[in-house]
Amino acid sequence: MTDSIPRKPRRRWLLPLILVAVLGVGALAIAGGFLLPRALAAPAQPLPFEHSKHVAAGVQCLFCHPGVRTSAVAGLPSLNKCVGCHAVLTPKTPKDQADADKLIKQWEAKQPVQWIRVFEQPDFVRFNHRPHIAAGVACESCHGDVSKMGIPQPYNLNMGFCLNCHRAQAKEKVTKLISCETCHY
Amino acid sequence: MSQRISRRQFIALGGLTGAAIAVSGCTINLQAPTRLEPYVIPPEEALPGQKVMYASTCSQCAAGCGILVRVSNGRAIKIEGNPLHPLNRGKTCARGQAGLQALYNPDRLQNAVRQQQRGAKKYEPLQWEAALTLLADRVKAAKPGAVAFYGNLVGDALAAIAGAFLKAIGGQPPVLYDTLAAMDGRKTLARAAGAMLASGPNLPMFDIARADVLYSFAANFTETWLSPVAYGRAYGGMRGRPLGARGYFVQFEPRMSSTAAVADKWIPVAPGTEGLVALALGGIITELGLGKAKDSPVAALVKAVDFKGIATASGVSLDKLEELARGFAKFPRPLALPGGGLAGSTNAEQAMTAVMALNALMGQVAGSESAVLLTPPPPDAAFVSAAASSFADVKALIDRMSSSAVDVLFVAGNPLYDLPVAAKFAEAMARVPFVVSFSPMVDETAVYADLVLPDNTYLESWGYQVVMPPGDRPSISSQQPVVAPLYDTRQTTDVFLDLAQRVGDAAKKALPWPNTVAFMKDLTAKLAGKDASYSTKTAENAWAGFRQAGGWWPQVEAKTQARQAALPASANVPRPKLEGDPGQYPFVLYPYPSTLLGDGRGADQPWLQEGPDPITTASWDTWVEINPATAKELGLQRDDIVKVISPQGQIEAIVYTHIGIRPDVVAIPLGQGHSNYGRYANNRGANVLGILAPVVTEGGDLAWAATRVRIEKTGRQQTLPRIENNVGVDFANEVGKFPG
Repeated sequence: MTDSIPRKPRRRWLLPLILVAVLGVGALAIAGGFLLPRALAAPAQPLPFEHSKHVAAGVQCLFCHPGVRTSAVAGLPSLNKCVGCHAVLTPKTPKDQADADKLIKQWEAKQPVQWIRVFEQPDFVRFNHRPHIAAGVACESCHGDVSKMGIPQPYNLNMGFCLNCHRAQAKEKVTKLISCETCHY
Repeated sequence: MSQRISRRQFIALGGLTGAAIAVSGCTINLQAPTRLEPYVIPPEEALPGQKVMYASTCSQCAAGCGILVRVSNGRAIKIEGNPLHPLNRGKTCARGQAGLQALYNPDRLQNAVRQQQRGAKKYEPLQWEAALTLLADRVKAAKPGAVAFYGNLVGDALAAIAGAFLKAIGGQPPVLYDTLAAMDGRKTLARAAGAMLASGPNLPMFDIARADVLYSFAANFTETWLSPVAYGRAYGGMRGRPLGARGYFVQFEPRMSSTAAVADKWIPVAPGTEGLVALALGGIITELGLGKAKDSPVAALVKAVDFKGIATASGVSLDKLEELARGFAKFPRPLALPGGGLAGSTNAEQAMTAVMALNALMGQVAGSESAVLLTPPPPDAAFVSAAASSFADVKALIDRMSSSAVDVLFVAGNPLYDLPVAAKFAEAMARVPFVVSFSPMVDETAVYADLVLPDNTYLESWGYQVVMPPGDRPSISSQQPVVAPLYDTRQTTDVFLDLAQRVGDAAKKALPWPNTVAFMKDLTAKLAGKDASYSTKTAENAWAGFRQAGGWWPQVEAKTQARQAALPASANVPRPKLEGDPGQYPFVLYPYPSTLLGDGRGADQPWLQEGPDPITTASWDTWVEINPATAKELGLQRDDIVKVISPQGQIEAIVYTHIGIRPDVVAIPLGQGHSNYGRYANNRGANVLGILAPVVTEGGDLAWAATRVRIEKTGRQQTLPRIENNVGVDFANEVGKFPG
């Protein structure tokens, strides 16, 4: 036998294909991360708080987050604000009762709740709620329709998201609204 | 694994893994979640995200620097210097920065407590009303004049209110003593300088910034002496001048402090001979007729000086003394600092007088261009800087307590930690029927108190501090709460004002104010119409501006020339006396205040605990600085644990060999060795104050560097936490001098 053992045909296209696939997927992921607003998974919170129920009960956003009108941050309601209502409410279901009991227990122990932050901007972005509220931007424009959410769902509020809206403003405002140092300073 | 992976498979797998990571990166949030912790009950003024700055006064030492505290959501988050304040001009020291941890210390008492048996550490919580009723009953039942007060030298409001209270009920004036004040030599300096300048209890201002030559006699003014931030700034001014005009600086001190380390020359004189060296310099200047010395009336005082004897005693050769004298007299504005280190020897007052005489000899205590100046007092006599009591006053109090002449003792300090064990404060306190401590946490003294009424920390308190020693103008620093009190504690001034309402008409009349704010409002009304950077048109204006700017001071500097009122009868300095037989106790113990922990009051703050000492870079423990030659003789190595034994007791410390100390001296920093001062301070190192002999100077102050000790091996070792590497120090120790 002088014939050599037949070799498998070399698939020369395979390696470049894999590389292209990897780079492509990576590039898409990066582009997606930076450019597309996207709903993310809601984090588990220490107390089973549901926005939808509060909105359905007619509680206004600014009742619990009054900071948006006056300050950079919205703030979370203090425990005594929660208890202000919950001390006198009669829960409708046993589950609601159990959830409210957890809150009352926390209040009695005077232990602050450590909520997991849902919306967060990186340090290099200076976001301020006040001018947005003053300009009449509705809460749900950025935070989504919380009346349909239990735990609020985080959105990827990236630069593309901000600029989409900033570009759509009145002409004389756009130059300032899209200049870098408006948000990065 | 028997199955081999081919190169191609490996690459393919790698690619797939990469792709998987890239894809998963889209959904997994790689950041750890941030937690948001809203208040249980928010303070009313809290506005989320809005920072508020409050101007107040630092109380980490008695200097009275102005601070700005950044408060977010009702929580104090950062302390910085107040840039408007004429004393510190926006600067702070490490201790000032760490003040937040006094506020947030987890071991603070959260309410008033009492204990049935002293030292049992079984505390029953008490409502304030019950506590104050109990206290008022005890004060009313006390024999006439049998109520006493012992406190630290911090907070002029407390000193004023407690003083007025005691006066009204016929008690002795408050005893204000702390180790830092003793080690700064406040009382001694006030006496020595006061006699010469007729400045009374006020301290003179040393114009370091404009000095050409600065001879510092054991003044560690960049670390803790009197007003280190202000003097640090002045030092920068002196050194920052252009080449040729840059100030020249010599430090005379037995141990190389970090002030000595930045000097052009460090002269390691024997402890207690600094004053003798000053005298010798004055003598040489007079004899050689240098500068304007010949015409000075002081020249007569420094004649017939025993130069040879001084050279032998101090360890500074005659040649060296002459060189130093010529250097001092060469320039028009020399300045000699009578430092705190002088206060440690039995000849403290004479030594300080000799240093002041050296200034007078060079014409520096009179005239517009002099380097020693006086600052006019605040515009109203109601603003008095609380003066330190001498150790003799403390001893008098101890005697009264031992002879059962004290029925109620108020303690707003920590005497059981601060005083030498041999002073027997603890034994005397055991004879006082009722002891009240105002410590914000249970400290060494509060353990033996019947009642602990926790004071608010200074960031939760109202008050004022007359800046002493003053800067370039009279100033009063204002203190206001930057946050609402964290716990159910009460400001001690409020306790005294409340008590005054309960114990009788005289006290009620002397202290008619319902609380400290009302007291402060009345006090600052006296500033109405006075020059300030804010409007003082009405009392209301003055009160608002006083809080907003951080105090009161005139807009332009107001230095007054010192006038040499009287010459001392003699500038002679006796040899220092040391406690302990030199044969049995061969070394002089030189305790020094820690740059970070101060006299031990900072030991409850972990930032100060972990901060490295500037010379040894050590932290968290107590060490004893020993010259390498001495260590070799004793067979000691670095990190050996040794016993330091004085005639009064012994402590253990870790050896730090260092050429920056005389071979016949061992130095130990203050601050550690707490048995009860919260979790960060407890059972850490040793308290050198405990083993000091209660030797006093002629003026009755504690001569804290007049105790001899011996060193004994224990055979144990422990590595001292240090951040330096040892290469430079080992090299220096080997060749006997610092590199370069």
